[in-house]
Amino acid sequence: MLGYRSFSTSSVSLKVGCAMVKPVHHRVKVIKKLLSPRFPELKLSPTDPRSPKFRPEITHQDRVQEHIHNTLRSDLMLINYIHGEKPAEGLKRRQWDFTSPYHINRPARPPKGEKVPTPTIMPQSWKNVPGIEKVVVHSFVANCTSDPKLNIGVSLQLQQITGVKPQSVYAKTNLPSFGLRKGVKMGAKVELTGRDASQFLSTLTELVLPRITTFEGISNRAGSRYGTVSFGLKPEDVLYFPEIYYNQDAWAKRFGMDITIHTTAQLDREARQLLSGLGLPFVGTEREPKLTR
Amino acid sequence: MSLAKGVWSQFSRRSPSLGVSSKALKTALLSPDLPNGPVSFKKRSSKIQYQSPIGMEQVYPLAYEMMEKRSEQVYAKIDQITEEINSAEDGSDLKIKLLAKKDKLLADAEKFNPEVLYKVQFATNSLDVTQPVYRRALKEKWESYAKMLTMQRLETLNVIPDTLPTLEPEVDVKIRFAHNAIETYVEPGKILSSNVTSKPPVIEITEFEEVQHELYTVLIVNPDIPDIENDTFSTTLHWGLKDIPLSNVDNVIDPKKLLEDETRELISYLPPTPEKNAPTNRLAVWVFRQNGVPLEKVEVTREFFNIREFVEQNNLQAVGAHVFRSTWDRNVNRVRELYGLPKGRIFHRVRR
Amino acid sequence: MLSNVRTSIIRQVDYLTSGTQLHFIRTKRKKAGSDKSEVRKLVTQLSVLSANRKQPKLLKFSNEDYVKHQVIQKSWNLYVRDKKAEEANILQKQYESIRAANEDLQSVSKELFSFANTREPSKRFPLELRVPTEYPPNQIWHHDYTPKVEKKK
Repeated sequence: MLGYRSFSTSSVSLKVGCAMVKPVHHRVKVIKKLLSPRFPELKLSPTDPRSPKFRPEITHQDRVQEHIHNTLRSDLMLINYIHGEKPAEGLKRRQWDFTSPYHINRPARPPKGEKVPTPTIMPQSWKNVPGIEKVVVHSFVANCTSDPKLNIGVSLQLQQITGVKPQSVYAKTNLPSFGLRKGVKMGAKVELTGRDASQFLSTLTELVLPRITTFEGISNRAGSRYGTVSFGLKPEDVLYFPEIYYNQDAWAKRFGMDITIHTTAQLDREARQLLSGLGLPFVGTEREPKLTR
Repeated sequence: MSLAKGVWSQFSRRSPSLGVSSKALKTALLSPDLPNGPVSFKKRSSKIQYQSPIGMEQVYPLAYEMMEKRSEQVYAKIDQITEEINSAEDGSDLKIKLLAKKDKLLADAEKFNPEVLYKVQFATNSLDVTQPVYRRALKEKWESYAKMLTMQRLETLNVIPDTLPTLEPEVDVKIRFAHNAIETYVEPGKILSSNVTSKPPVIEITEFEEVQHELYTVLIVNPDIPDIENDTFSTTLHWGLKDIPLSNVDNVIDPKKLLEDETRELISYLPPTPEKNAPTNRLAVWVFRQNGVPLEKVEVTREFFNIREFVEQNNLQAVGAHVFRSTWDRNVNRVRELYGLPKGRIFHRVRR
Repeated sequence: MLSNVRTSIIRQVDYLTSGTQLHFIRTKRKKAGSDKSEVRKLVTQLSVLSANRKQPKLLKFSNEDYVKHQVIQKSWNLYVRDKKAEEANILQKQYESIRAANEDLQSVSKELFSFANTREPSKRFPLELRVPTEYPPNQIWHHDYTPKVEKKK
């Protein structure tokens, strides 16, 4: 009978042929690490200054963000305001119409004519004014397969330029023609958010880019279509970062990098408008996107 | 220079327990810096060595003023709600909601009062439970450790399916035996010696909401009594208490409370007297709310006690539980003699 | 010495490089101290990359100061939240005024309305509108500046 606990330990019910899993019905979520007496400092929230994980964020003024909030935002809203505008529907995946029972849980079909769905572009309002989300500095060094110690140099360069510890980048595929082997460390990348991103953008626009003679501006065609702008720096250009320029003896080899600025803009042109206000020049003819407004 | 200017230093309409009693501590908390060093440090050398974080003396007065202003706004809201409560019908849903909201606002108003914060974090054992802030703080503390621990122990020791089917804990149950030399409160699931459990425990029930005219039932139940004839286990009721009036302040069930009214003891205390080689006995302490209704004509049998039936018949609501364990040790015989119980059996394995 | 390299180990060294790790293998001595400085440099770079012994000390709070910190932290968070809400409110009011102005313009002059609502995708902030600094630049205004005229091909 169910729930029968026998006193004798030799009953048949105790010798089951499979693993017995008792029904679990926790009414109260038990966080085991809080019950353990070990590591009392790690039980504290990372925002608690007594915790070893505590890291003060607001250490100085953020000029770039203040400029965006004080000056750029209201103008960006005005520039992109179109009276009576409606959302521009993007191409979406098509759902099955459940005329057949096999439609249940079947994955949605790709959009009509395209493989990849596109986002719906909402009209400009006070709620969706673009801002800077993050800046990613990425350096891929092809020679790392033959000379792995270059990885240290790349990582150090990115760390000193940005002030943030970088992550290593690994080769994802095996391509013998490019000399790529899967899993080999091939460079480094850094994701900058908040004050680090603002500081890096300031350095770029005020110190580095003005000194590069061949730099006219970021191409108006460079973008991910939906609000991300990218450009690159050559090893010669990287010299102008103050950490490298005033200490050139320590830097035997400089590495080029790709800088990607992720914004909360819905479209590339909005992102370019925002970045032009932060001192980044743009050059070349702009391409009007086809499927959106 | 003291920052005591606003609501938080006025005690005409607020309880004095919302402030710190020690003068030295008060000056430490209500001045921009620490004029006499940190009061919480005992040694004079460490007081001199200690340095406050940089810039705190400039920012703290502004922060204190800002939070006090917000508290004043909340008190204005409380006055409004009190008027609404007075005009509302007694016992109506609206009144209950308004009272709950008032409770919450009273807690919100004092949540960032530095004196209250100090007491909550560094003087937890002496908090005034009549104040909603302190009750809320105690609840948060319970939920961060003791609640999870109790539930974990109840589940792993299988007290929950074996006695009552489940528990939604609302109340913190703490038990204390007179003999415990090291710690006062028993950790749930602890194996206690028969010496310790030979006398009835003192039960402390902490309610986190305001208690008004509430009666409690306590049952100590042992589901591990061997029943050889049926090759199973039976449940024995070790102790039963009913109609015990408790409040937020007066929350301890001790011999004094039981002497007030003899009918409160449903059944006298029977100490756990486990038998040798039998499995460890679990003693589950169940606390129930009677919803203000006293129990009448209740008959309980000690042996083969059906706790689920009892709970259903008397319309009880399980609000808290605790568990401790007992195995055979050399004091069991002495305890049996003390209570006039027959000698225990000694079990051994029989090969069939 | 910058690095904590034990030169006795690295005296006779060649490194076999494979994958992600450097393996130090003893081989026949080639040149006297040929790779020393390079290896030392690498070790220094690695030590700069690591956070070992470079982390600041934990802040130590007395009970009173910890309580004060909590009050300060909460009040700062509320201050920032209120500031953001105020900014959003101002932006919303601006939006409403733009919308109202457009409504009026639509009824007044259709030509001006369509001109006002043409999309300007290539509109940019002027580069001279630099991110403000605490002090003005050494040369505050370039009086001789003429904008570049783009040659149309």
